[in-house]
Amino acid sequence: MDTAKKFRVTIDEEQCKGCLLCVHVCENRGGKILKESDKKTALGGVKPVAEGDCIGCRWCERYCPDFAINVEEIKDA
Amino acid sequence: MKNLFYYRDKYVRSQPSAFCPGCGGGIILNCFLRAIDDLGLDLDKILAVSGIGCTAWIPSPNFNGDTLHTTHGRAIAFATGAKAYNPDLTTVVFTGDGDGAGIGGNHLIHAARRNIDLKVILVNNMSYAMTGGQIAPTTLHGETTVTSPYGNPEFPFDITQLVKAAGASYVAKWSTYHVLELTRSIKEALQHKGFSFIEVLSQCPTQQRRIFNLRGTLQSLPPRILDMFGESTVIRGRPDKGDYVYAVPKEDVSETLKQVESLGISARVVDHIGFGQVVRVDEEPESVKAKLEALSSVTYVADHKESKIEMGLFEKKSRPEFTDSLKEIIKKARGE
Amino acid sequence: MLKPGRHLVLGNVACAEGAIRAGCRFFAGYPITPASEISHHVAAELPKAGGVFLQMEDEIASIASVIGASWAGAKAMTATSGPGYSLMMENIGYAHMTETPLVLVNVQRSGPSTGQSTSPGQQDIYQAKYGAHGDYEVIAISPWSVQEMFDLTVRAFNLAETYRTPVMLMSDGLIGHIEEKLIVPEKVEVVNRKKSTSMDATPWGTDDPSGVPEMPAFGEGHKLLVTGSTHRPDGVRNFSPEYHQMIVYRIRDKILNAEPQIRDIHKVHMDDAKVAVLSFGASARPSIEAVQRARSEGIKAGLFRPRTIWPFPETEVKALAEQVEAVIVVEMNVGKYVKEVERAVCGKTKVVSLAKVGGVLPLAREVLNVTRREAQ
Repeated sequence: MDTAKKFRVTIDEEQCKGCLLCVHVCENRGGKILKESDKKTALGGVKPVAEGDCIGCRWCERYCPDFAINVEEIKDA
Repeated sequence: MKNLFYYRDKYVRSQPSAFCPGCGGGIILNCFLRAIDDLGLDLDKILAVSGIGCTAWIPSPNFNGDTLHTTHGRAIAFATGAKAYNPDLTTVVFTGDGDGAGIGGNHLIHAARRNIDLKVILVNNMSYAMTGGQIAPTTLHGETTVTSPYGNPEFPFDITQLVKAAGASYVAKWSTYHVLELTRSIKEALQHKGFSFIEVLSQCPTQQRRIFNLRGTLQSLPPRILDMFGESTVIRGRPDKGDYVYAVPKEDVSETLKQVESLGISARVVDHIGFGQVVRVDEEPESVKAKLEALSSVTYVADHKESKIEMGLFEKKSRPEFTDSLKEIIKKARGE
Repeated sequence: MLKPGRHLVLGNVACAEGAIRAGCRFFAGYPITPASEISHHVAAELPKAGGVFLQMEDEIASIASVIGASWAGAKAMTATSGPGYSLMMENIGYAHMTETPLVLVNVQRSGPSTGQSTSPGQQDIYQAKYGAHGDYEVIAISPWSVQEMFDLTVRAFNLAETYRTPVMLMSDGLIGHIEEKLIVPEKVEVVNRKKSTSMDATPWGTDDPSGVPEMPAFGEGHKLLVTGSTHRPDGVRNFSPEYHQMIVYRIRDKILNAEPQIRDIHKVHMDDAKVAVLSFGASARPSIEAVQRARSEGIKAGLFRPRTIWPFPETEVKALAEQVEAVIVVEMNVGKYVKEVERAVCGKTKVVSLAKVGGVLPLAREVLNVTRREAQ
């Protein structure tokens, strides 16, 4: 039953400072899809990356201090 | 459901902010913007006033509305002038624990006494963070800072009680861990007519590393301090399932953990504002307290509520509001 | 409010009347001798004009709320004396950096510290110019009568609005506390700040030769960034040397370049004067008495009384130095304004200091004796 909503997670590389709060809350309360990547953000922090299906809980958006992560519902056609 | 870029594009002026990675200031701005958006407030009628210190940068220049970035400790006094002259301005003051309750303490208690309709968000990172981590009126007794290398000789204010006693008609306390409750509380404050005060315990990876003696990389601190806030707080009025205790270690917490686990009890190390690093044991207290106290590396077994900081609503009442009284005066003076 | 016409009024009350006539609609103050009567009268009269009077918890809060109100669109004023004036310094500096129009009345008393709290003095005139940290230029005016407590308060507001700057009304315990005739005019000239003409006005930068930018207010959708930090014309914080020089020089030059318009000197018997008595405020009263007596003795004495003490009337004093054989500077302090006069005169003529401390006016006789001596 594929009625679950789909979400696209976007990280703004220019503004993310790599504080990894999003990864932490995703791990503890969300879909456990945000991970530390091996890349750096423009500001030199560890860049988070979304792997897997976001459940749209938006905790990452609530805790992001830099408005650098965005969860967008994908309304497929 | 609005996404974060909606709030950013509509309410945030310049990014990236000057805050350190993982600073609580950004989270508070996040909650504030959601609150004003949820209430559909007219952005042109919001005035954000701030003093000097990291907190002052939450609105200035990040907030895309009128901002008044004033002198250290005086934001509330500046805000009083603007609000008294133009009561239609929804006037929000962002101040720190030092800025608001240290040098600004006199203005804080008098504005509360007047019950002027200001919304004051006092961000408490328990130190003068921007200037390097000096003791603040909120720093706990005994804590080491750059100005208390031998332990803080002073005791902190209980700011919510102070402001409540001074006459504030809405007083709440939350932390950057409690983002939903904080957003809701800011909305309540925005709708409350009178001196509305919210103290927000906020993580400061840069300075609290020393204050709470958190060993580990700077990178690891933001999530860790947030969890510490979650661990070290209790919410007024919420049912409290107290089925856990803390084993306070003599020295090395990992030694204590090993000893607890050797009893076949599942446990984990957590950071606790009151005790530092402790071993949390999620078992019925009666069943484990004696066994834990017997362990050589345990000095003390604390009840789950001990030395926790109370969050929640401390005051909400209606009282004559100052700018209303000023309007009355004008009517009286004109014989209306 | 006093009706147009003749009244017998206390100096401090005349000041309050002038403020309200000039359009002051916000006042915040704190009780202090010898300035309190200003607050009393404002508290009674300002609400009638729909204005707001606040008594704040201290002088720091008083000036702070005045600045807040000014940016909310008000013509705003505070009044204090020495001790309060010292407390206000940091925020006076903030008002300069943000170019906030306001009027600050200092009813000077004899310091330092608590000093002779009920006696007049003119010891704060350097503090008016250099009190807050950093470089800025100030407008300071000194009334010598109850009439000028009214007229110069009106002028102070008009100058504050014209140049978007704090203006200091340097009165003193004597002028504030005497009762004299006051003629309240039918109408007073009122000048208002340049409101912003477009949403992308830069409130801290202008190509206008006056150097005075437009001034929007809170609540008009301008998304103002008012800050005491060094900032760009649009208000965004920027600490670069270039922006700092830009703002400091513009704030200074908008006052100095306008010195000829701000200048306001009252001259008596100066046309053919050989000895000039240079004095201001309360000290100028015995000085005019001495000048008239000296004239009756055939001495070509004259009074040179700057109502505007800052910016210093450089060109006028230099011209004075060419004309007279001696300039006697009469003031109630250890000798402060005389230093400025000496600097400007630069040896062209003799400068004599008649500086009196003790919270008492220099006597006309004392001024006359020095005038006689210098006239030989």
